[in-house]
Amino acid sequence: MQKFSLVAPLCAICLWIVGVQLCGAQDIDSLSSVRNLAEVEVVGAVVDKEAVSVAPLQVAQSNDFERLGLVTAADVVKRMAGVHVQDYGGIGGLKTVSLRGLGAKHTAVSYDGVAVSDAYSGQIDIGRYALDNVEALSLTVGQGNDIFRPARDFASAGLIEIKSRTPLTTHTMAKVRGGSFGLMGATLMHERVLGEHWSSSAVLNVEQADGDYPFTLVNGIASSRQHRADGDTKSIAAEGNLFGSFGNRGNVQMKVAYYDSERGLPGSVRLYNKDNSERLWDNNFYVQATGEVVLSAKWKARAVAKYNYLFSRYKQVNPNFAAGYQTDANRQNEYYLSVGSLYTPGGAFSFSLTSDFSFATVRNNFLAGREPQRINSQTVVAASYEKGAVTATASLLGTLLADDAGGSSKPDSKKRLSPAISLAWQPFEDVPLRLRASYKDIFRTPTLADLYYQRMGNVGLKPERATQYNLGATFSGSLGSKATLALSLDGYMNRVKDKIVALPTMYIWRMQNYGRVFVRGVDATLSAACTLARDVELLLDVSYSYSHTVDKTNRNSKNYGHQIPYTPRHAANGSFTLNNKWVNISYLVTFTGERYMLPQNIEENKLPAFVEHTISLNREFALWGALLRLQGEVLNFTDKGYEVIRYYPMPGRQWRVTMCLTF
Amino acid sequence: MKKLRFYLFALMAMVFVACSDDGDDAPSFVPPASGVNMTELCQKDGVLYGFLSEYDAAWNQTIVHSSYNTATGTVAKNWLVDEVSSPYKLFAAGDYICITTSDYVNDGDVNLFTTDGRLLTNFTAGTGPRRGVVVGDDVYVLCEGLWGYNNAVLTKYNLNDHSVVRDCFMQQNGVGLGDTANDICLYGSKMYIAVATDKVIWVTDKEARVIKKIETAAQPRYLASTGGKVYATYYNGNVARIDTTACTVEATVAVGRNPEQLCVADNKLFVANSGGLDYPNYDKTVSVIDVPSFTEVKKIEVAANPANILTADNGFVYLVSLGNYTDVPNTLQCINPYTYEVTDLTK
Repeated sequence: MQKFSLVAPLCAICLWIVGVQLCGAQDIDSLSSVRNLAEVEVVGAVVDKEAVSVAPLQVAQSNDFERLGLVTAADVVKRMAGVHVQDYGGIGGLKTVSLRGLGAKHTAVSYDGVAVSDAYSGQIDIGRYALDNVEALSLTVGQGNDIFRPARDFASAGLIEIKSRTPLTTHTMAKVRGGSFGLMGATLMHERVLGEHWSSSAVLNVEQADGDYPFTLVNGIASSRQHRADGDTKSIAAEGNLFGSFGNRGNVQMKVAYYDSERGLPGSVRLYNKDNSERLWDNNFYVQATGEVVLSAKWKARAVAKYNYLFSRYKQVNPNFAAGYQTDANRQNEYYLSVGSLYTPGGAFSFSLTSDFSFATVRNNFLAGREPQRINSQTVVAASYEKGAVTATASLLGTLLADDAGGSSKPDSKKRLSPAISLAWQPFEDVPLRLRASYKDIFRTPTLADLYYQRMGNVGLKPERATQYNLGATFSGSLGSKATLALSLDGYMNRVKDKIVALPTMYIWRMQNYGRVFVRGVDATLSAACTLARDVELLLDVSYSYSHTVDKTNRNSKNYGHQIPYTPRHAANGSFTLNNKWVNISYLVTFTGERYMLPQNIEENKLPAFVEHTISLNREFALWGALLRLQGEVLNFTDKGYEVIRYYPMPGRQWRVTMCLTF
Repeated sequence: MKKLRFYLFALMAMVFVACSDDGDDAPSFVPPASGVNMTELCQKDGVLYGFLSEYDAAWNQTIVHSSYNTATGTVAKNWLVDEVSSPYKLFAAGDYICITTSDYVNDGDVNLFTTDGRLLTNFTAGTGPRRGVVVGDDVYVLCEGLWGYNNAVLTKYNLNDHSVVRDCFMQQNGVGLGDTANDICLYGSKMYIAVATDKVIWVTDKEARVIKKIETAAQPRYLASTGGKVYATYYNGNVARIDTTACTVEATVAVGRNPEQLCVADNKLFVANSGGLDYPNYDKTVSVIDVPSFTEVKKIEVAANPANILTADNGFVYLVSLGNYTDVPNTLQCINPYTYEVTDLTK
């Protein structure tokens, strides 16, 4: 069953890729010149985009990933301000993103313009996205400048956008990497220009690790050196892309992708018992297409379509079960369509109208025989104004969501209007300082697991509401001819109502709308670049976050007014890069302040602050017309023992070496 | 052959005589005056105390407490109303009935009530206070902690000076109890603490100093003691016998699925087989284990999902089955330990 599901889509992808590649032209440009050009373009664009954004926006580019030695999308996101990545440790561990004290399910992820979704669990594992063919990754909190996008992009408190590379030349890249704890991986990528308008790319990525790392378990006055067993992982990801670019007439992009993984779930560490036998198999296949047509000088139209298949199987071997084990198999199909248009009548205004429709089905052996379906219709009207010193956007999202699983208990359909408004103003024409303010009222729908999971599910759940306010300033400019500086400072306030949580009734836990959270915080970023000599460049990035995220649910509760679990009050990241013609050096540091593992802020629940240091070196060589890049990192080089989630120890000192050949 | 018959007859006569000797203080069962239903049983002076069945109550709802006098058959409801929010477990300690509270994630409290329903005092114990034992003037309260957090604690409360020592196990031994502690029992000069997910039974002295750490073959759930031995249910469907001198598991016997509490009556162990992990096909049996031979002699059919079981002062076994938490409610039943006759007290 597993084998079959792996072979068929892979064959389809290979055939498609080979077919597309064979049809193509064979012009090979000089590689290095185009690469440099691309980088220059990119750096210019970044600074501007972040600074002029009406809502907090942080962008990282492929050259940033490379110089800092970042491998997955999780590595990038966790260095951004206002972000907390829940990390269960290890290479295969689940990584989800919480923004500004909101739950992880308020963060959406979009890949090449199409939202990634999981109607059943609502959980997106950001650690799954390798950066090999990623051009840029951005994070927007609230509603940004671009109003011409699918309605789903408006439907969350924050949006992580991953954009893959568009081929500029025909070439092949082969990458191998190895590292501590049995890490081995290889990536093969081929990009091809197919004539004037078309190009294609194909990427294959395999990775495995035994994940068996040592850690120190502290138990009162005793401490012992132990090994994290059962953290092995192996995965294969394949992707094919076809790009069509027709200048000012429009563009299309098609993607077919496959992902398969198997991993051990080591679970939380116990003081006296090392038994663990949980495994997880994931399988995902999807095809997506986006097309944009310029109809006239004033009208543009866009269509997006996606089919998504998700399968996961969880198995726990445990003699407490009558059969000796328990499996939880989950199969989802989703069909998604988005159609929209942009109207720019001339002058400062533009308007967009976009409608999304999706239909999802879930089959799961833990839904007490029910087979839930979800129909979600989202429509957004948005307007933007951009003239002189002022940029403003406003949007209104209408959601109509209906779930049905047969049987008598059917949840009410959910109808909601969600407004957002953002404004930026540059007070002085010749000073690159901008002030911004934004507001967004949004919600997250209960997942199908929240509604239907046997015994625990509650069909009476309402959406969890989040209201966001942001007030900030950005500065982006050059200091003399050799240095650039970008700063941002944002203060924010969020309120969460009807939070969806699992609560115990007398004997069993049930999902309920219970909980109010109040968040107040500050995010600050600094990014500077300075050219010291002809081939010597210094880059500095710093981010700091303060977050006062407290429970405001029940005055009589012992955790009323307490900081909610796993949200540090202070967190900071820094990176420092010295680029030169010998060897490029980057130093990365992460600080996470004290936080609590449970809602009550008592000494027993406190987790200590930690600082993690990493160093990354790389150098490129020209080699018979090819480009060889060598990269090495020592992660956590002080061998600091720490935990992000209590009793999920993180690895200590690790090394990683990557060799990448482009020809 | 005749000789054999004679011996047999003689033997039976002896048994008969033995039985009739016992007959003087043979248990007498007085049914409740009206239908009674409760969960989380405990007993003091022949009176059963429990929470009134509210299987779908939200945790922050006040739950009505109930009592049933097994000697007189008197049933009282609405006892101790409104004093405790989010009640969790209850147990008898010294002169008091302790009602604990828990919302599972925050620290829970222990409320000490007198048997006439007066709240005497309360104190904070730890996450999920579930069982307690009294040693002199001290009440040891075992808090299970939250699954996966290794935060089970043993908290000591002094009835005289009202002092509270949180996690006295850690204080005495320098290490933690472990993850998901389920039961504590006091027997002879020793305390026994079953820690489920860590598969450990700690044997300590009365000051909670560790005498022995028993690593068990499966997850220990509940404890009972008789005849110089301590018995533990294993969640994988067994009961273990622990020798209290050597502090080792010396034998195990298979029972039903996911056994919960167990009790001793007429030199037999009565084990509630819940089948709790087999939703919706719960187990509905009580295993009877003969103590001297340590073998299962009978499986009694009871209401679905039996969990709480105790032997009352009248010698009868009282049992709560939890049903399926939705359309099958919980049931209080009484088992005659001699005839295995089951009487439904809820109807």
